Amino acid sequence: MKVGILGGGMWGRTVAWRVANAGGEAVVWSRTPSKAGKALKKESGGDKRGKRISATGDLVRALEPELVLVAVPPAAIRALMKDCAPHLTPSQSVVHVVKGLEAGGATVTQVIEAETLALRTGALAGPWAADELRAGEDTAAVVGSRLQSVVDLTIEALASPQVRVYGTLDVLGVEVGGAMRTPLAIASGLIQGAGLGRSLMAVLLTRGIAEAARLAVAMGGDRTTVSGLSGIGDWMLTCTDRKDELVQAGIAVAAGKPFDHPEGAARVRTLVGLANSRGVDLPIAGAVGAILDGVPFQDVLGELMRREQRPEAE
Amino acid sequence: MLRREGIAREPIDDRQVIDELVQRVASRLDGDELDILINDCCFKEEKRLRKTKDEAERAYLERLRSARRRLAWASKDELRSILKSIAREYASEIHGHFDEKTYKTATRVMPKGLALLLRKQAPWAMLRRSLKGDKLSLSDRIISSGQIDVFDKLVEKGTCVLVPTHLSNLDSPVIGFALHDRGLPPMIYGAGINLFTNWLLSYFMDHLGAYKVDRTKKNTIYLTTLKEYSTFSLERRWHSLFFPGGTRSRSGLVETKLKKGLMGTALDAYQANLRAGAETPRVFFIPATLNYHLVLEAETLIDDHLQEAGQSRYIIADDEFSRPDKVLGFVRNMMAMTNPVEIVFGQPLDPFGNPVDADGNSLDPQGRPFDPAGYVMRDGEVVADEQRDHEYTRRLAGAIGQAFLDDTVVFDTHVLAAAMHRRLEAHHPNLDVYRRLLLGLDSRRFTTPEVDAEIGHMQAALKVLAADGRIRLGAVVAKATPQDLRVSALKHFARYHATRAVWGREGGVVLEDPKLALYYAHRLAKHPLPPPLPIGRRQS
Repeated sequence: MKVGILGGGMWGRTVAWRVANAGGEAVVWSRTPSKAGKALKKESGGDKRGKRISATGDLVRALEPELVLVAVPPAAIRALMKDCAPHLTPSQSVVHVVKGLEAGGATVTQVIEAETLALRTGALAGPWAADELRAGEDTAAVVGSRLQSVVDLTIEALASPQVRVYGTLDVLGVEVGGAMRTPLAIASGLIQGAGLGRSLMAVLLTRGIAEAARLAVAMGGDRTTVSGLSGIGDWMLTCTDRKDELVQAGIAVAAGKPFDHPEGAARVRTLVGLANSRGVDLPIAGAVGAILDGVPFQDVLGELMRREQRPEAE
Repeated sequence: MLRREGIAREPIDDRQVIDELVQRVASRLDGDELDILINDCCFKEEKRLRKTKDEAERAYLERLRSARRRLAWASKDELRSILKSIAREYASEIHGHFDEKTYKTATRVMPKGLALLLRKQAPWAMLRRSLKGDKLSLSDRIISSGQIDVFDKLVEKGTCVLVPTHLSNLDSPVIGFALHDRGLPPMIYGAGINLFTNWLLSYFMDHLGAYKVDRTKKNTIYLTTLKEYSTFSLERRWHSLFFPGGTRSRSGLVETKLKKGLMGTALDAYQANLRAGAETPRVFFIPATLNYHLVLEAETLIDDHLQEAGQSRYIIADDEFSRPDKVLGFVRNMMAMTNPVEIVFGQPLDPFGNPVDADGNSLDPQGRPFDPAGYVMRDGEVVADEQRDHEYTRRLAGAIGQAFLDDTVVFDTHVLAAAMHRRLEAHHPNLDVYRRLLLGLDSRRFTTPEVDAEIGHMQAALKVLAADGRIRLGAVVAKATPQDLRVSALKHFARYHATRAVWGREGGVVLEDPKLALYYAHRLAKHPLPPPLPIGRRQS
């Protein structure tokens, strides 16, 4: 199957390799196609599957296949979709691998549907370490879409002996899990940087599930989806990876340095703003937001721990 | 062509329609376990009708019992035959009869008769005016606005499905008149079978080409027959009318949770048309809002909403509408008002929720025309996918619900009722709405300046929403001062209901009937308004 991929960055190329591994052909669109082409060539290391991946600066060419995968940062989504709008047809499926929400709080599928005629939309997420995937390590992911036919098409494009792809009709749950990844990764960096115990890391992840579930339900999703690959599965990978740039940014703050990840900060603020507007309590995301606003980490942690005792299931 | 003829549907052999429907139902349900399906139908009908004394219903029940007794030994062919006989019974009931001559006569006579009936002048005065050349029209009473011209063009481009909000049993005749008055074609529509017992409404339903819907029948065979009838009608280009809220809004709230069953039949019809290579396969939805200063059945409806038992009184057979004197009294009072009813025809939509232009093109979010067939086709063939279609219809329902909110017209009665309830809330913030309804008369009396300040506060917010296209304002709400708005609304409230929702007395304003006022206040409940003014603060 031929798949168009929008975005020649690390995630775009990673997805392209997964398509090639599954026996398909990937056309990777990038604003800097020569840079993306060089990176792909370097990654292939003479691997024959690399011949099934091509880089292009021609957006129309990347939008020809029936399935288009989007791998650009949330801040760039709306402008890109405006560019894509004239070239998409109703029969095409547009699935994204973006982790985060747009600045106004819209999910990426909502932006795609607001800017283009595409209704066959979805989100793909899971514990995918880019370097491991390119190396062909085994893993799994989940694709969420309101349409089962989009789920089936995405599975057909990406499933291989090394990658299991599960499906769900709860696309909102998948997107909320992706959005919660940022504050949890930063919080994980803070815990690691401050030398706090592993117990607290476990608390962070499990209470992260509770927070994400509340937000998912408030947005019309299913609370159980965040307990799957797109939620806790992805967070376990990210939060335990000291090389992850969000985790590193958190470690730096714990060491008294300024937070140096503007996009991460923007994502956290968007998430907290969305939760406030919907009256959803996100204490961990809110605490990370407070730290980014300059409140000392220890004060925020103390406040979190002193919160009113309540049943776990709330 | 249908429009020039002025009929809702072309003459057609009733037997042919019923045969076609039976065939469709049998095909649709054939894959299921027929014995379970038929048994379930019999069980539900037995439960529904076990106490009936109606002879026809008893005979029908006996036929079902007989079918049920044969189930255990029935072969597959016999099961199909039983299914078809039940479906035939339902198809005959739903389709009813249609006589073209009677229909055309009714079409010619009805508007003048309706005008005579509804004008505030005595019939002889109307006759005298008519002889002098005055037009016997209700156009100055029932106002139509919105995208009428686009609607008018679309009836030639495909099949139109009018989907209005539903407040009153008067909605059907009001819509019927508005369509006729604007030269739009009449439409067929599904009317509750209980309404066919009401002489007044039956008369108008004939005009509209109504088919019968029995909401008490919940079995799969009946529901499938009903859906197939709707699909069949749309395929034949019979412009149709659904009330997507399902029933009259009990609470007065703008309906945003819509029933998708009949709505989804448009997508079935569109796909059937594509498969058949029809010349005009498109189906268009026209959302419309019906907006009244006062609603005939408001007291009964809000009572029904507030009573817990209301859920079981789904079909009200004993409301104000069942009393001709009440209806006539209400209508005459209504007609004495300025612009008592306004129908807004909204942005037409395709079955996927995309806007449609006057040429029948679906428009993408950037306003570019496109062919939506790709949503249901792959490699040039229509692909059947029930789950996909359900999602598309869910999206359509969302777009229609949004149109209902955006095209709601706010009248002075709504604003004053909402202002009074907001004052009550400001004074009793710790009580929920149900407890506030129980407060004594002293707690429901406010000074005139306090009420006017709240009205002004609301008007300012409503104007911002209206400028953003998120609501429409009636002339008084848009232009009058808070004082004038209050006076106008009080006059309206004094016109019809047994008790006044709000009353001005002793230098203040009293929430006389808080339940009735709540019904009118609810019209604004789904629009984002700021909190009520704090106590003691006047609008700056």
